[in-house]
Amino acid sequence: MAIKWKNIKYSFVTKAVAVFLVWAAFIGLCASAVFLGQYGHQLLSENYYDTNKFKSEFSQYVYCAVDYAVTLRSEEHIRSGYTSALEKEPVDQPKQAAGELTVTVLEASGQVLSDDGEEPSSEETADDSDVQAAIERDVARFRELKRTLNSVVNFEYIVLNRDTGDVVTNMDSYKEAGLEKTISGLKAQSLYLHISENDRELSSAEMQYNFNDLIDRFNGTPFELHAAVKAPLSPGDVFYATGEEHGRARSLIPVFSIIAALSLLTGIAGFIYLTATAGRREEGGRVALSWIDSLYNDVHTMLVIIVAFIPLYVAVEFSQGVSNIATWAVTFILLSIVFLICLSYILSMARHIKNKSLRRHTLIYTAGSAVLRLVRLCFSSKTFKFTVLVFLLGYGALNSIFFLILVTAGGGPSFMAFLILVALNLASLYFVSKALISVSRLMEWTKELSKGNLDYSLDPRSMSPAFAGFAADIGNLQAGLRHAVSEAVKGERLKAELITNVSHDLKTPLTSIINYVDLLKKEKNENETVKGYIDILDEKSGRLKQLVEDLLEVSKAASGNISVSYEGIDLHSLVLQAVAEFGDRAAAAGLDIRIKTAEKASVIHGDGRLMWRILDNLLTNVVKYSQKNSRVYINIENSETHGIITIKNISEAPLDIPADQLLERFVRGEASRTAEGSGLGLSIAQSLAGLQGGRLDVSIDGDLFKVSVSVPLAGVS
Amino acid sequence: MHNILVCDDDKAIVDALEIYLKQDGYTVYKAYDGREALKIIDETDIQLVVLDIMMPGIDGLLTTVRVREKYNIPIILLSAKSEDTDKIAGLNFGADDYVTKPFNPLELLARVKSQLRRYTQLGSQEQKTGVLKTGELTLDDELKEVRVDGELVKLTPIEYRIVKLLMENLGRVFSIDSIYERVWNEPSFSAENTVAVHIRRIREKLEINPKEPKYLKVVWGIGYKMEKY
Repeated sequence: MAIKWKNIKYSFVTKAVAVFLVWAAFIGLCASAVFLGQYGHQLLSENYYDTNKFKSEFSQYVYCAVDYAVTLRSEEHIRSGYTSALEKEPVDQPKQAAGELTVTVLEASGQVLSDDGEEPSSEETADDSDVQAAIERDVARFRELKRTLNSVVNFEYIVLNRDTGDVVTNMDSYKEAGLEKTISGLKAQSLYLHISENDRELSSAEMQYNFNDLIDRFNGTPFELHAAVKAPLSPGDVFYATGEEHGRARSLIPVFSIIAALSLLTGIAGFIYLTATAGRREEGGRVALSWIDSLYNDVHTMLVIIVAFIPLYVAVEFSQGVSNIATWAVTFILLSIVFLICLSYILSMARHIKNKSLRRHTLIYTAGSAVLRLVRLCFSSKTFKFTVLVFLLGYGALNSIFFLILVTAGGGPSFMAFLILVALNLASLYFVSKALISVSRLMEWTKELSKGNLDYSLDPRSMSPAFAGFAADIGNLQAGLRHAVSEAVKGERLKAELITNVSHDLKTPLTSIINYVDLLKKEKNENETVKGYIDILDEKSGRLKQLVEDLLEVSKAASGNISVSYEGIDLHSLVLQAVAEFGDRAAAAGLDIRIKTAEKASVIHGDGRLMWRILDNLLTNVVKYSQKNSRVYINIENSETHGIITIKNISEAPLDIPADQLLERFVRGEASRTAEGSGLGLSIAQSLAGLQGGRLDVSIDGDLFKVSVSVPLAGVS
Repeated sequence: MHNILVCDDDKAIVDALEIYLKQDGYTVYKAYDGREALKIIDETDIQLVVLDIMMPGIDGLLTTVRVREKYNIPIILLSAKSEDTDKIAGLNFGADDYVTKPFNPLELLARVKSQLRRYTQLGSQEQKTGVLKTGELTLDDELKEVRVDGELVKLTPIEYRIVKLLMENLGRVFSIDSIYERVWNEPSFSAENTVAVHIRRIREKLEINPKEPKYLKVVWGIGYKMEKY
C-alpha cells in the first residue's frame, strides 16, 4: 500500500492534477481579488451612507445645488451678472467671471475648463460675441442643472436667501409644509448638511469633503443651504442604484471570502506538493531535470520576467476597458499563461535547488568560471606561459602605437615608425615561424613514436626555446619506451632460452627411460601385472617425449625464434601431401577425408615446412579427437588477399569449452586429459600461422569443430 | 663381428645401447667422455662410433674432428638438440649420421646397421653401368631392382616407376601432377591422393625413419624430390 502511495505520489498524473488545482486556485484568487478590489472600500462600511461612493455622490449633488441656486440663480441673473460686471468692474470682472466659472469646473466637462484658459483673451478684446457665448453656455448649464436636480429622487435641498426670502428647492412638500417644517424634516434625515455664512452643520463627521470652499463662497452672502438624502432610498436615481449594488456586493462577501480562503489553501497545498515532488520520479531518487532546466537560471529569470509581464500588462490594460465577455476571456487566458509560466519557472528553480545547481547553473557563474580558469591558466605558468600573453599584448600595443604614429605624424617620425614596424614584424615573423617549425618537428617525432619507431631522434638545438622543455619530455618518453621494449624482448628471449635448456635437460634422462622400458618389454616375463605396468610406462614415456618436443616447439614459435623461408606454396598440393602422411592413421580411425579445392589455384606466400607443421598438428587433432567412422572436410578457398584452408570434423567427445580457450596452451578439448597429447598443438599452429603473416581461427558449433588457417596469397602485398 | 664404441656421459644410456648392440651380436666398447673414446679408438680396431655431442671435457664435435684426422670409420652422433642447424653442424664436422634424443633404439640399430654395411661392403662393389645411384640407394634398371645399403627393397611397378623418375632427375622437384602424368602416362585431372600416398609408401620402404627421410624428400606444397648425394 505504501509503495502504491509512493507511486501515485510521484506519478505524472498526480502532478498534472496538482498543476490544474493550483491553476484553479490562482484563478479563484484573482477573481476574489478583483471583486474585493472593486468593492473593498465600500464593504468596509456596513451602511451605504458611510461609503465613499455615497459621499462623493452626495457632495456632487451639493455642488450642483449651490451652482444652481447660488451662482447661476436664474437666466435673468446670468445675463444681468455679465452686463453689470462689464460695466462696474471692467478689470475685476473677468476674474470674477473666472471665479464663478471655477465652480462649474467641478461638474462640467473639459470644454468648460478650456474656456477658463481662454478667458484672459476676452479681457482685452471683450467684444460682445464672446460675452454672448459665455452667457449662452451658462444658460445651457443652468438648464441642465435644473433638470438634474429635479430628476433626483433621494437628494433634497433648500437654498434660502435670507435677504429676499427667496427659496430654491426640489422638494414638492415645501409649498404645503412651509419652510420651518421642511428644514426640520431635512434635519431628521440620516445625512444632513447645512451651510450658511460662517456656519456649517454636518450630521456625518466622516465626510470626504469638508465643503470649506462652499463656506468661503457663502461668506458675505445671504444664502443658506440645507441638503439631505432620504433615509429609506426610493428607486429612481443613482443613489438607489448604487445602494442596491452595495447591498448585493455585501451579500457576496462571504462567498468570495470562502472562495479566496479555499483558493489560498488549495494553492498553497498544491504549490508545496509540487515544489516538494519537483524533479523526483521516486522517493529519494535522482533529481531529474527537464528540458526547461537546461536554460541558465539567470537567463530563465530574465525571460520569465519579460515573457510574463507582457501578457500581464496586456491583461491589466484589457481589464480596465469595457467589461464584456470577450475582454474577460482574454484576460483570463492571459493570466493563465502568466500563471503557468511562473509556475514552471518556480518548479524549475525548485529542481535546481534540489540538484544543488541553482547557483552553478547560471550564465554568470559559467562565464565567470571560464574567465577564472583562463586567468588561472595564465598565471599558473606551468602549461601556458604568462610571458607569452604579455608578449602578445605588447606586440599588439607596439604595432598599434607605431601604426598610429605612421598614420598621424607624417614626415620623419612617420618614416621612422614605418621602419620600426617593418623590423618588429619581421622579427616576430622569424620567431613565430621558428616556433611553428619546432611544433611541426615535434608532431613528426610523436607520429614516428606512435608508429613504433623508437630510434627516431631530433636535434635539440633546432628546437625553439619555447618548446625545448616539451621536446625533452618527449625524449624521456621515448627513452622509457625503448627501455620497456628492450626489457620485454630480453625477457622473452630469456624465457625461450630457459624452455630450450629445460627441454634439452629433460631429453637425456628421458632417453634412458624409453630405452629401459623397451628393454623391460623384451625381457621374458610371465607376470601379467608387471606386463601391464610396463605398458603404462611405455605409453607415458612416449607421451612425455611428445610433451617435451611440443614444449620446445611452442616456445620457439611463440618467441618468433624460427626462421621463415618464403616461397610459393600450392595449398592443394600441400593438403594432398599432408593427408597422404596421415593416410593410415585416418583409415584406422575410419575417417573419410574429403578435399574440396578452389577453382583457381591457391598459391600462398609462406614456408612449406611451417605449413606442414601446422597441418600436421591440425590433422593429428583430427585423427585423435574425431568421431570414429565420420567424414572430415578440408576446403581450400581464396579470399581477396588470403588462401584459406578450413578443416571441419565431428568431435567424439562433447566440446564444452569456448573456442578461444582451446587456442590457449595446455588446454584440450576433453576435460579428463586422458588421451595422449600435450594441449599445445593448436597453440603452436596458431603461432606458426602468425609467423607467416596469417591467422588461425577456431569455431565450435555443437560437436562440429572447425578450424581455418589463412595465409597471404603470393603476389599480394 | 664388429667392434662398436659407444660414448656418452650418461652411463645409463651407454649401458642400454650395449644391451641392444650385444643382442645383435656386436662387440661393444664403452667410453664416458671424448678423451676415453679417442684412446679406445687408437688402441682398438673399432668399426663404428656412437657419440654423444654434449659431454664434459672434449665434446662430441671435437672428438669427431679428432677421429677424422686418422680414421674413416662411421660416426653416428647423439644429441638432445633437434634443430636443423645442429644436425648440419654435426654432419659438416665429419659425422655420418645424426640421431636426436630421445631416440627409438630400433631406429638407432637400423642406422648402425646401415652405416656398417656401407663401410664394410660397398667399397668392394663394382660399379655397373645402367645403375642409378644416390648415397647408398641404387636402382638397377636392367634388373628392375632397388637397393638401400645393398639390401633389396620390394617395390610395386608404380612405385618403381616413381623412384626411377625421381632418380633420373636427382635434386629436381616434381609436382604431384607432373609425377602423375609421367608415371601413369595420362593427364592429371584430379590426382587426389594417389601420388602422395604412393610416395609415402615408398618412403616407408626406403627410409630408416620415414618422417625424416634421407633420400625421398617432401617439398611441402610443391612436390617431391630425390636427394642427391
